Amino acid sequence: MSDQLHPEPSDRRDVLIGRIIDGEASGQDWAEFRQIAGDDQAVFAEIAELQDLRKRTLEIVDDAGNIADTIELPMHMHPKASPAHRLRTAGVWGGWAVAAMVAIAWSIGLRPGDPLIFGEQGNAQAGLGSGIINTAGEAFQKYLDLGKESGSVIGEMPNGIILDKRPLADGSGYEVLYIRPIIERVVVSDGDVYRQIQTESGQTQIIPAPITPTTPASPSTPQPLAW
Amino acid sequence: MDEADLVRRAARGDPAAAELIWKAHRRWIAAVLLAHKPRQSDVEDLLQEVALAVVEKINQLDDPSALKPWLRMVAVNTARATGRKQTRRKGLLRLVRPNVPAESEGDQDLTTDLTRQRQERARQLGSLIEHLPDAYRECVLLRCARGMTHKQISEITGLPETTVETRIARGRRMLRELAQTSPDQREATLARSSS
Repeated sequence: MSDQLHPEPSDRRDVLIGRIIDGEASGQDWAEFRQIAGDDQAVFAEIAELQDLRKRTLEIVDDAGNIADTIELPMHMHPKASPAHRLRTAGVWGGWAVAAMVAIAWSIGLRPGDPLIFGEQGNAQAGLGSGIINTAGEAFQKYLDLGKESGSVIGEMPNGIILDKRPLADGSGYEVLYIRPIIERVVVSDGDVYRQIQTESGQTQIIPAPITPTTPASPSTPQPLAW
Repeated sequence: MDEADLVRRAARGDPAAAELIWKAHRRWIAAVLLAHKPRQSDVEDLLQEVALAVVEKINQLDDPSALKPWLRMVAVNTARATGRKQTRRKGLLRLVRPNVPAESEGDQDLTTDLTRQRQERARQLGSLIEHLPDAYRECVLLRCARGMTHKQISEITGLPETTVETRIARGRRMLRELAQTSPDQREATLARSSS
């Protein structure tokens, strides 16, 4: 695979055939090609096969290009767009409940590995403030709210990830597995930090790892964080 | 207005300039993604990721005249990162479904019969194209992007025009040889063809 450093005679033949099937061969190219091909009639069968492959490859690339023509730039995500605008846009895509979010994802044809967009979970959600938690969703929201208040939770990432989907046996819908990433925060002090080492015999051991702050300590009282 | 001006305006957040750039280049970006995407990835999803990366990072493009190589790099990186994410996702899925098959079949449920035949033909050729060496595959596919000349491919890939033409010619020859070979003989055919 030497490209131009060591061109081979077959390269010239291939290049000339390439120009022919692309419809770009000059008179000189044709003359040179006839000289190289000689009496070999099989070369015309080769050209026909290559033309067919080229046509089919064009179809594949054209299909991809047609998809590209439908993709617009998400300009609201430009770094110079206001953070509020960016967040608001994420909120538009989010739902009030997981089921709704999954339904939105399905309707736009997301697949495993695709991001699910989560919006901020609104304070108007059922169960909040009532002291009674009836569903896992309410408990989760409570966890987020209390965590933000205490500083142990920064927030939920706007993007979730679909792991898998499969139709339900009774045909009534789909089972979807997905991840909802949460950013948590913890403050550790010297003496609470450990690291993993391998001993000479190859065994793994956990040992204390003293830490030396290189920057001034952050405020000791966790502050509620806006999200 | 030349392209460098458009890039500068897009970097400042001008949506009209960014749209012009995107519309001028998105078709060949799709061809680059086809050349580098992991097997199970969807071009549409990758294009959306590239579009997002373009919006978020165009202000980091130091040399506006290097737009095409930069767009190519964004596309190649997006395709490769998706491959890594897919591997991680499968690992996580096995935690909850130990018997999960290597490749999910769920996506096929949403495909209509009408498009299946065309997809099958494309899949057969696509699997042959996948066997091409990376460098040849990209040039062959870019050449099939609408109106793409050797000169333009040279600007995108940074390769000399003569090298581009040679790679396309060799890649097509390899593709023909692969099409004539049974699947179990393809690696050997490719090795012979590349030597």
